[in-house]
Amino acid sequence: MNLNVQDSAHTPASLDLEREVASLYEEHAAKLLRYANGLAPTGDLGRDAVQEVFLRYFAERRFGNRMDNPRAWLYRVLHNYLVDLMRSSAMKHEVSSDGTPQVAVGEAGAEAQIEHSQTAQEIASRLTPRELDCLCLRVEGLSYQQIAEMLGVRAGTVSALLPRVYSKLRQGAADGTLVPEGTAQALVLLLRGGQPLAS
Amino acid sequence: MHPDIEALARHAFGELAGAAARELTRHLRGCQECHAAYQRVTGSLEAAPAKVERHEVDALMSKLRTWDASPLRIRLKGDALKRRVAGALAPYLGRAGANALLDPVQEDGGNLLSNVAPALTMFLGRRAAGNLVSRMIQDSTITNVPL
Repeated sequence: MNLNVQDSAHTPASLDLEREVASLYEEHAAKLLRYANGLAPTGDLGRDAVQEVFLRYFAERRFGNRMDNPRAWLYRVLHNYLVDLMRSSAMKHEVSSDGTPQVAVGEAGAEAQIEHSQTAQEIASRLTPRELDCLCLRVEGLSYQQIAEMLGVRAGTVSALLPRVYSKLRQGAADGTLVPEGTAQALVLLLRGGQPLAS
Repeated sequence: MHPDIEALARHAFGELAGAAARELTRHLRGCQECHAAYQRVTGSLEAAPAKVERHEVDALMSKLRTWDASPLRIRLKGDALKRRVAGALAPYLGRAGANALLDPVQEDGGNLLSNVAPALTMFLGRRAAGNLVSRMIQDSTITNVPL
């Protein structure tokens, strides 16, 4: 590593900030970890997420941000980070829903992966951002209640959104724009209560 | 409108008072989803204080230093930094507005957010501005930095 870079990184201001972050970490990390595990109880995800949030805190402080309430800020950023992570994970099909088949994208050939990617894009283009969020979280295996909590909406809203999503997916299969294999099939198989796309 | 997680957290910390606290308490009585989210926060606070291991703090400090010394972070100064941030702000403030806001930002970006955040809060409100600032820093300075 470049010595000058190291030197420039360790200014007194930087060391003060490191001490500030370390102090916050010692005070709040255990509680944040419990919060993370309550929201996304998946292995070491919570521990990594908590460290990531403190890195973001450090980065924002390095660029001059002044958080008037660091503890509340940490909770907000942790919450948003986990929601983003779970959406992203769902899009990659890394986590299976309970009892439903797990889809390993890596097992597909290059052509199939391209096709899956195109199909996923087609699905995304058909849905509103909120519908897509619901779908991804549902694929993740979350209940209606959990999806509602994560998106900050009522459970009834989720109950209304998901049937609309299923309907759009079925319509896509019917008009031939969604291929009933690969990602689309995997998505629908993972959706508990959803109807398989017509083949 | 549902409170955001930060408002719920502040309520759980006992930091809200007066009308704000009463309004949130009333909302929580009638909203099952927010009540569950609130309970998740209070549950995390009620946890028996677990000792943070020294190696965890050391691992975090190592991450911070790696990020601080990363090539992307080092390169991201002056005009390069301003261009990147202006791109994120332009949809909200217009290109000219973003450039004007970034004009007084120092070469090393040390006063970037103290300049930008208050103006964004005025335009967008505290909640949206906070989220945008976090997203902007994430996308501009953290993403693609190997840790």
